[in-house]
Amino acid sequence: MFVIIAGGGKVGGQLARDLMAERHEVVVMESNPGKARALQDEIGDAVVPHDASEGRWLIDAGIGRADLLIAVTGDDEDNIVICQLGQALSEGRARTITRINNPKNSDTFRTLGIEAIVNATDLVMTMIERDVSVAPVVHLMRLRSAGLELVEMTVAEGSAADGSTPEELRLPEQGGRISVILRNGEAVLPSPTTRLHAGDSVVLVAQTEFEEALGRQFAAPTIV
Amino acid sequence: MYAIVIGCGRAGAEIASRLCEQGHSVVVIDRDRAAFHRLSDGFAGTTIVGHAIDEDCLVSAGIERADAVIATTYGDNSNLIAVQLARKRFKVKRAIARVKDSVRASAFERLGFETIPSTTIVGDAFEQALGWEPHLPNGDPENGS
Repeated sequence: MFVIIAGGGKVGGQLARDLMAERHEVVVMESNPGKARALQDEIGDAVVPHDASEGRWLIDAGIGRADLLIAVTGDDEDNIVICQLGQALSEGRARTITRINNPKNSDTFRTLGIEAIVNATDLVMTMIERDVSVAPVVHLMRLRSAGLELVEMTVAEGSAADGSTPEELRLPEQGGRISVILRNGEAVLPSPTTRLHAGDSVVLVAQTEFEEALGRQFAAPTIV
Repeated sequence: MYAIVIGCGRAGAEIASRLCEQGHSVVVIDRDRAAFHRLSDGFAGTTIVGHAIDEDCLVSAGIERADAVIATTYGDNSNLIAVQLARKRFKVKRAIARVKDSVRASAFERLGFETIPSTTIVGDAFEQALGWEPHLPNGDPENGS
């Protein structure tokens, strides 16, 4: 796949590394010169030091032949317009995906029908099926149409999850499924018997209605 | 008519002042109160401190009964989101975005949104002001351009 990532911050950088490790062709667009240089030092020519919402640079970066455009700048308005522009310039060929940083905006964008334009759901589902680690992004997303959320939770010391396995926690019966465990900077694919420890971050696919209850299993016990 | 002008920079203040002078009702929104100093002395419209895509702010500006929304902020993307919001969420008939990036402007025109491609317009104006004939490097040598 040829993937253009708009935004070379933490999320964009991590995505680029993950996708390159999976042998995808990647271009990262970052308009902040300092951030762009830092990323260039690490991943080289794959960095375009320009604003992805600037049409000519998006064309230069290869939007015409891109399979996927991921917008992960820190600005919701920029992300949305980048996706719309990417679709327009690729004549609908490139799939686009973004994240909404400010929950207040997600309602706004939903009323615009942006969700239909930014087709996150099917892409994220495909990635999960393929066990591609996209954890830094997905925990911010709502798969609203499916009634699911991707959430990242950290195992608190003394919580129900601390020292337990997904099986013992009976997560599937409670509407949740761990797709990946992030431990000491490594992504671990869990089996039903993988033991969780305090400090682990887990990325869960959760049914929206059960998210709160699931969260309690990972939270520190409250002192009464 | 009733217009909401988003952004009170030079362009925003200009169009807001003009519309006001022509007798229209005008509300101007800007994040920065100091920006309203750019409005003409006789400006009789309303000013609101707020953000371009904040729905509460747009509602308090009366977007539900506005005839037009004019988005003139410094950010092309904010302007493009504001006109989409105006058209789709609030069913405003006319919503026009100032877009400096020519490529972005024509892409969104094709998507059905009204834009003022300011860079293209300025380029056209300079070209017209110069009034030069095209110079063709491989033209007929006898005409010696």
